[in-house]
Amino acid sequence: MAAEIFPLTKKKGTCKYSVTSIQDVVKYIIPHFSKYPLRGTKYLDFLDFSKGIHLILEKKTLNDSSAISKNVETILDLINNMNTKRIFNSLFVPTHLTGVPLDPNYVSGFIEGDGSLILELNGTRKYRMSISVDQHYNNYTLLDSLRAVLNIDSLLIVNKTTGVLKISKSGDK
Amino acid sequence: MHFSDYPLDSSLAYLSVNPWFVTGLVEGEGYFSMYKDYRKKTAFNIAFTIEMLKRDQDLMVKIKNFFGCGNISFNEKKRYL
Repeated sequence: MAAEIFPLTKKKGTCKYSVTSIQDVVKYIIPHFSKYPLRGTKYLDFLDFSKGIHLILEKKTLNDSSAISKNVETILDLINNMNTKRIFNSLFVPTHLTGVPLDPNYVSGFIEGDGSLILELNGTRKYRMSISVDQHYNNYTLLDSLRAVLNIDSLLIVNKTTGVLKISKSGDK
Repeated sequence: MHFSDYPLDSSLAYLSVNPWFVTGLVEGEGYFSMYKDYRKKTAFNIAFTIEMLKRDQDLMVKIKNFFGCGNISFNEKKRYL
């Protein structure tokens, strides 16, 4: 059977899974990430997201207008300091998971999302295969634990000012 | 050996995703967002999203089945994430 080969990178289009219902997030999404927590800086965004949802639900029970405007202020404050707007004063350390080893399934999920598998011609007859994961510098701790699991000697700091970290492992054949 | 010579275990296609795999994937490609609904004075919208290239749509369906909620949508023009 001949294999069909798709030029994957040239194919346009993205596919998006999203949950926008607060009820569904409370019932299905938050319990999942409480039981199987994130380990990188995204954990902080998850915490702010949960806090925001709690405040949005609380707002519905408020009648006093000054209490409502205080509630809205707090939510806006969360929004203005999460995701890409978050400022880090020090490297993030996942203290909520101290001593919890990286689950192998977590590793494959993370590499599915942010990793690349590379096969390239090295010289004329040799091929080099490598696995590589790039992260923002703030995620140093996460990438360093991934490095240990994958048995890679060192982390590569590509650019400290833009904050790109890389681990990669390669072999010649 | 050509990659197509490796037998693909067809039973794998029916496996459901592992919960730690889902967390790892979200660490890489997911995001949690909240934004103000400017049509209303004190309303907010929220979203939990995972966006991948279209070639991964089977995985997105598995994630939707895993959580038992949410929707899948496509953006035909977007090429990079």
